[in-house]
Amino acid sequence: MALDKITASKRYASALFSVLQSNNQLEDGIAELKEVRNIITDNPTFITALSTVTLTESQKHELLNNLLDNISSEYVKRCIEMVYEYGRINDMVAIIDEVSELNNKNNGIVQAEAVTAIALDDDQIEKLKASFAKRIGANTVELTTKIDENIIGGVVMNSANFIYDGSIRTKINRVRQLLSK
Amino acid sequence: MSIKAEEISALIKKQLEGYEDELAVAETGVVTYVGDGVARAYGLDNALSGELLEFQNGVYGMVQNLESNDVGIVVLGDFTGISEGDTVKRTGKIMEVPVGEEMVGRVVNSLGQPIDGNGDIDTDKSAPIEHKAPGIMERKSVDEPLQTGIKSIDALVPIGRGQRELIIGDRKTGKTSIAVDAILNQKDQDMICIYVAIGQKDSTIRQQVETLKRFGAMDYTVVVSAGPSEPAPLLYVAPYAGAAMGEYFMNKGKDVLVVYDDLTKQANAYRELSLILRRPPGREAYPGDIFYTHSRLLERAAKLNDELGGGSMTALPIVETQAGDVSAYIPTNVISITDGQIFLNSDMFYSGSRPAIDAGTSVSRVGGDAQIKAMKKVAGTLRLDLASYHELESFAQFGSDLDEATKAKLDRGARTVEVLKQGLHSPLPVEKQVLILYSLTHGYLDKINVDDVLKFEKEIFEAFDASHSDLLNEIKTTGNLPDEDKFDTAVKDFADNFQPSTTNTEASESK
Repeated sequence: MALDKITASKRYASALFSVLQSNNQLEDGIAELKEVRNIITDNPTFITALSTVTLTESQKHELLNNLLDNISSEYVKRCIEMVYEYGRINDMVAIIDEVSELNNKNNGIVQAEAVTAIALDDDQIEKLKASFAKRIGANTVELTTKIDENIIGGVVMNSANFIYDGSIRTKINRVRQLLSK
Repeated sequence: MSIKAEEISALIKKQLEGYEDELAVAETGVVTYVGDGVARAYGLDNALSGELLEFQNGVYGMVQNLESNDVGIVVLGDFTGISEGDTVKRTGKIMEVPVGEEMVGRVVNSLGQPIDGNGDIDTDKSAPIEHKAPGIMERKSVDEPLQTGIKSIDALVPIGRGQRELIIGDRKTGKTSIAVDAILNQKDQDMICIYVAIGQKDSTIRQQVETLKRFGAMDYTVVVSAGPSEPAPLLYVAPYAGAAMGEYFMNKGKDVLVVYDDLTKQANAYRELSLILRRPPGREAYPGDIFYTHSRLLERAAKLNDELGGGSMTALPIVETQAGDVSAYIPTNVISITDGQIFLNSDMFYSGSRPAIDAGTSVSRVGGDAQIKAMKKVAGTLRLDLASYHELESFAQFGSDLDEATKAKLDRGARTVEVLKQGLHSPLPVEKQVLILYSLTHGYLDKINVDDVLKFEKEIFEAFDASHSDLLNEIKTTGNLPDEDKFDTAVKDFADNFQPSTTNTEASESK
């Protein structure tokens, strides 16, 4: 049975990450991978073309070389080539995401999404970042914000499989449960 | 009516006392697959097996499979409202159902929610549905009989409190009726009954509940129902929920009778969700742990020792066979788990001997201790009588030239079969069972026409109720046969004065 996408991308990612790390090319490598990810997501037909059977092998190589020629990191280049040859080019985005995930973990960076009822100003965002980083023991927090009026007030933080729910809506629900007992 | 604002606000304050303003932290996952009562979710790295999860739309699920990247979840409710990409939250709790005295007399679903339209169940106690069975030291050997009120069971396959006795047979052979009759007979016995219906038609359940109500049995019965239209996971958890409700009473020192009707359908539901969860199929496509599914359920039936209150939980699981095939997978499994089985024979059922209990293949492995002394005395030879009757019966069909001894055996056999017949929903107290079986084994029925046996039975009960209730009472209270001479004279007096029905005598003379 073929490995599923998640398992496979985790393996490729951890290999690439440790190679980059041991050769001290982490920062450059990650930056380039982000570029590659942008190229792939901006051109949805690119991956489709690489995995289709209607193009010949040489045509595909030509396409791929366009991308590879612009990559300076040798390891990233080789990784993409290998992923392509092993027929997993479809999973490239997942692999890149996995690598940046590993990098974040390594540097104590946590990505989080703050859901609020009204827009936050910069000062508030900074405060939120600081207190959230303290709470979960991270060095830096990369925060994205989202506005959802349904939560009435307070803030809901979504981060790495955890929800920190401090919204008024949830509190009201809890009071309602107590009253209806 | 005036509204007293102060009282109301005091009440609200009291209710809100438990509220704590804290941040709700929950681990979440993302649904990657949903269908057929099963969902898969990515994330939830710390989820426990058997843990309860909450989906975004409020539906609950239970963790079944823990895999390297995702968890397999059975959805306990409507899965059509869940879609790919939804979040699932951990609750940190193992699945629980409400338990307590308040459950008695109610009809609930597998989650313990009322479905009888009689409002909420006001109980604050709950118990996890999966609970480890009592261990060796917590148990006591079964020493007290559970009277089912069915002559052929109490005489031939006696059931003790804390025993597990399987009721097995083809469809439409009266399995459920036996279980329901056993529940009806527990009236005024300080017994709590739990009837777990798994995959039974809702109309049938309605009918059973009406029957229980009509005979006043709902006063001590809880009905747990998971209908055929419910998702498979609910059918799978129903018996565990029923067992949890029973354990509450058992731990309080009470005697409990649980009926699982039936485990074949539970096994089918478990097979369904196991296959969808992609667990490897085994024999008859059942998953590898199907035996454990049933053994851990039935092991929870127990007789507790006196230190723990001496409560008991008797289990009557029901299993359906196909064309009498007891060697199929589920029947053999459950037969080997239980302490005996009551086998119902469809041929006997259609030939009119109901309940259609096949005395030859039915056994009770606890046996002896589960019978009162009086019953042991009168029923001792019954099994042998029946066996030799059935053997001779086929043999006697070839010739009419039979010696006296054979003829006597055949006559006795025919009357035994007749005595063991019993109407639906008419359980018989044990002292009366002893009385009629005494008359049978001491030959008082031999002179009577077979067709008159039921008349004899009816009249002897009436006669004893009227003039010898002291004798019946003695059996009931002491469990022993009363003074042999006195009892024998009483039966003999009645037998001598018994008037056979005229039409039958004529009919037999003309033969």
